[in-house]
Amino acid sequence: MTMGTEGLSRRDALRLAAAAGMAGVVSLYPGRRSFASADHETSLLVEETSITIDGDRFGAIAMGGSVPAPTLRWREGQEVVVQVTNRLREPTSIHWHGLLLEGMMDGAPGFNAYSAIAPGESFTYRIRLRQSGTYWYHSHSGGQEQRGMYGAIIIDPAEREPVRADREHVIVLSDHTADHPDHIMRKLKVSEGYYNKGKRTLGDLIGDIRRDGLAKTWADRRDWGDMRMDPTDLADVTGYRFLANGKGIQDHWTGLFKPGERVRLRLINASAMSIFDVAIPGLPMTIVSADGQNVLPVKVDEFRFGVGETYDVIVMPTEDRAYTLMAEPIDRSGYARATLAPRPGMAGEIPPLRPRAILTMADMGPHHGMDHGSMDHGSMDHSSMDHGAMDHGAMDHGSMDHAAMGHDAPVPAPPTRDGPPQGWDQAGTPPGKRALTYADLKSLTRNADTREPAHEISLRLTGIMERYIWTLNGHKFDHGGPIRVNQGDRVRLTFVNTTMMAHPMHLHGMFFELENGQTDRKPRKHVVIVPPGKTVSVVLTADEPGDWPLHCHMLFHMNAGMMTRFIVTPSSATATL
Amino acid sequence: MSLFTRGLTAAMLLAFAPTAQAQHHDHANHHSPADATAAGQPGKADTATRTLDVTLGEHFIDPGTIRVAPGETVRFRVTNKGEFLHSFVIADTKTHGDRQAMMGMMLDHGMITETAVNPDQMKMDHGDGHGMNHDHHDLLLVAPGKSAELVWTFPQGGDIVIACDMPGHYEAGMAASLTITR
Repeated sequence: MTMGTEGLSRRDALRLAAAAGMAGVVSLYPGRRSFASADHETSLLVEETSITIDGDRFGAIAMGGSVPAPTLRWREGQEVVVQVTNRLREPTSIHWHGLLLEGMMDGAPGFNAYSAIAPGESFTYRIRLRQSGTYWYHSHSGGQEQRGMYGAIIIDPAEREPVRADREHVIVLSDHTADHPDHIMRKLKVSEGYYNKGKRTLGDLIGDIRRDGLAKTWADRRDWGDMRMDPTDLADVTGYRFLANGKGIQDHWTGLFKPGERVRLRLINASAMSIFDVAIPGLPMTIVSADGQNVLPVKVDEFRFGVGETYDVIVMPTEDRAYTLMAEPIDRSGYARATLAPRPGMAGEIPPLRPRAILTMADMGPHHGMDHGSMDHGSMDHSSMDHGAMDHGAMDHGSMDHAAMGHDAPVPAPPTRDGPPQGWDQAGTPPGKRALTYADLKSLTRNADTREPAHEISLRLTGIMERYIWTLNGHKFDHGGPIRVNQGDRVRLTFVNTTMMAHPMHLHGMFFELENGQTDRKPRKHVVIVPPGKTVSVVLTADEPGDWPLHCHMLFHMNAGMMTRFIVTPSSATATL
Repeated sequence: MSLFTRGLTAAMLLAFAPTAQAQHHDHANHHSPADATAAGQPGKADTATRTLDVTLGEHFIDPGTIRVAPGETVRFRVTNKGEFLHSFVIADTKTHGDRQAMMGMMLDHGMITETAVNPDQMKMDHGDGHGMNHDHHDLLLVAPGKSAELVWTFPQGGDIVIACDMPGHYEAGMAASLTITR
């Protein structure tokens, strides 16, 4: 069910159908006819392979023979069966990211009584599809996802598709490293700054403050730049190559179009650790779906793309020329590139990389909870403090309220003409261009449940950078208690990011409704980016009984402990208690 | 600024100045030549050769393919079965672009929302059960659950598209292809 590299336009498909004497059998998409039966079966072998990126060979793991794995195209209402056979020398698993399913079929080892698939063994997944849209599948074991175990899922709706395109392409973005993920994790544990160049520490910042005074340090834009704790704050693993459909920037994957066509791009951020800014210079994008769920179309020039998220966009190229889709990781350490062109072999212009944003005190937020060497700012009087006498070795930032510090610090400035953008959320969007914000997302369908939540759950996103421990409410996975709710409960989940990195939080088994200002059209998402220092809340109706992982989708953050259980007790069980 | 103001004024005139009710067929002869576009002009209902029922929804125009004869006058009976405000616009591609920009501005200024026309902003009675109805121009605004009519005389030929020009709807596929053929 792989989409051809060049796709097949609907017109072409119709033409082919007519030519084959099948007029009336409307084959909207390639391969659709093979789904005539109610059940759809696929077999996927998980095995070691090698891949070539821009001429360099690397070891990798393939599902179904390729990296990315083949696109699975299904239809809402089908019962699909996927038999997975593990030919690795280690256990593996496949998780169906964003799908509503029985817990046992979710594919996260250690949850819902599901165990990893042992070497040489097989597991048969069976899923009754209750949704449509763009999703993906990936390993939920160790660092396997990073080594190539990711692929797209497209589910066509049972009812009328609210978006009509002449052609579509799947674009799977990922980050690739020659380093084995286990090796990366070891290096991060030994030294969190391993992958960072030009690292600066809080000590440097304090030094600046001591030297120049707090106000000056705050006010001076160059010092704002120096104030970033560490480049870590944007990305903690670098040395990546960024791929589009498994291709590097030299080989650049190309999707074809005919000028004037409506082209639907199904974009998936399948990277392990990279949040991207995505734009196609010269081509506005109309966002029609987020995380597989239809949204009111919104026309933008770019969007920030969290790990694990998916967006469907429509582009309407009218010119007979090549366009470049640019996906720049927010630390600007490189880019992924895909080409949209009327003919194979063309290449679009590659714009210069955008400047990297500089984090500001606002990104620290009022909840700054990174434990930078046990400092205690709690009782500090900043208006009269003697910086020289501060014991920096024993300070606790946990209770430091930067928003209330009362110094005459300017609010972080918007991007200036010459300086780098200030603040995590500043993407360096060119003047006159529009970047998507979460507030722009409005569900195309009304939310089914508009009850006020009766249960409030606060989840602090926490970490100790020095030892590369990432936690929730200060606890590593399975060291703190799980979240427990009853089936049918209406729940608000508030993510309070006390760290200086963004965390794309992902819940298995259910959609969040993002509280973005909408009343009955809150967008339904399975991943929500919680920016550094910010608080983001979601609501949901716990209508899927199970033992669901709730975790940061940054692969190494999850593996370092940033995960918890979200247990939905079945109503039948509740009744008997 | 002047361009902006002009755009807004044009928007209001185009969509709302003639406070037409449902069946003002005889107003056709009041049209100034300015009403005519490359895509044709408002027609007289009594010269319409047929009535075509059209359904709007998210995000489609049904039927998706419409054939008319050169110079034919067609009465479009347009019903919005969706949950959002839609428009029905007969125009060439460039004019659609202008209308889209205009409607984006109307949204930004609260004259319309994604689901309704703002009566305070528009100072317009649209509680007539027929939506924002006017048969004078190339643009119909139809609120969810409402119907409206447009009588249109097509030219001898040309590159014409029927589309909804609410921002983003055209891109999402809310368009019908129009063929002028004998």
